[in-house]
Amino acid sequence: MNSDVDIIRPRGWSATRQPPWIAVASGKGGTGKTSVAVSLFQAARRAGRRVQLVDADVEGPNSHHFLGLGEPETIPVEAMLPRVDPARCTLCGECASFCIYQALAVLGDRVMVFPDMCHGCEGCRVLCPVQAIENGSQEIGRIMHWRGDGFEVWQGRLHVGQVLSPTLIRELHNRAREAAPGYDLTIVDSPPGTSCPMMAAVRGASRLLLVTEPTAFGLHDLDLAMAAVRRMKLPVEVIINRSIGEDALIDDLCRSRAIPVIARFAEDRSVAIAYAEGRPMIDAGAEWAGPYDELRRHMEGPC
Amino acid sequence: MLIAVSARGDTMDSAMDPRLGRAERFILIDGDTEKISILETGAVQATHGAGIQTAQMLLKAGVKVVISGDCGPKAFQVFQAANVPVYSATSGTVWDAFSAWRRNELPVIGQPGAAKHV
Repeated sequence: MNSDVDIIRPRGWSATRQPPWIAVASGKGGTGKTSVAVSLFQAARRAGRRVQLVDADVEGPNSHHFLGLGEPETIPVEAMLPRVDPARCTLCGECASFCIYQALAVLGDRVMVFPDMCHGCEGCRVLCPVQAIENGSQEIGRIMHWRGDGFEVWQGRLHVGQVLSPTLIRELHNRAREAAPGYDLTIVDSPPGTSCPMMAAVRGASRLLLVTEPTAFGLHDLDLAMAAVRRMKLPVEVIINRSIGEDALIDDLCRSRAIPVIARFAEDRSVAIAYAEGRPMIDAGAEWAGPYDELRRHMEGPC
Repeated sequence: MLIAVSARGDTMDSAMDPRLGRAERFILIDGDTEKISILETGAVQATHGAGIQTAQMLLKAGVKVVISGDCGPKAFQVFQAANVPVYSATSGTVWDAFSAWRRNELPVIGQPGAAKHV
């Protein structure tokens, strides 16, 4: 019984531990990840903490709408793209037959490269028997960077048509990771789903918050998200958003997985109104300051 | 001159396949002798870039004219680079499509269709 329950132990509590790095994710889209992440970020700032927000939802970044920030610094992010030297190439086809993404096509007289198919693995360059391929590059997206008094915001924006979300997310992480020792807390807003972008966003976190809603859809995708991160051995906690006091569906799953539900945010029309006006949940009304300060305290404590 | 028609079966009476990249096979017709041969693509299995893969396969087989339903942007680029025209037929048998092409009744695809994702 319960053979698939993970025993989750707090990690990183040695004397040299890094400041907390909290990933906020969900399986289902639209459960309130960004609202929670931004609200927690604001709660931490208001409590005088130094805090970083990383918007890793690179295919639909929108955290900035809630923050009213000024002009960001723009950092281009590039990935490897093969450059074929026609003088050396013998049109042998090794590169094209190796590439499972079909980023190269060998014709009778040339090699064509399809930038938006390329995953930047460099396999073609390594395999080319006559060294006709060298590392070129293509811009896959950009990082928007805001720095203010006691905070930094990093946001990834993948260019339309590009596929390398995880590469851009890793670069976001690298930047924020370098700055992290100067902060009390880093919060990562993950993309929805349970595939590569979500996994890349969650990787390396010291703690994971899964935001869900008490519906059959929320339940289904929360279960997927829990399964997706199981091997990461992360401490996982759940927030039930839009609770109407009937959360048994979610509670039962969490109990069976031994994952604590640490907060329930009530369904509240004023949150929807605030959202539509570009204000995060914490600013939806005076009654929201308390719950978010409680959440902030909880996230600063042991898990 | 070799003409390729995307097909659902392996005779001239088989229905043509309106898909190009994910057609399971092409019937290759030698325009001079009218002898036919079958090219199995296996491209239906490809997770990415089925059109690019299929286009390369057809070019390697020496095809000079392609008849299919539609042609995605990447396969289109490959055919264009190789100067191989793609004609559009939407229904009927392989024979119908081939004879319509011979009577000059098929439109040549000048603009690629939308990229298809699976």
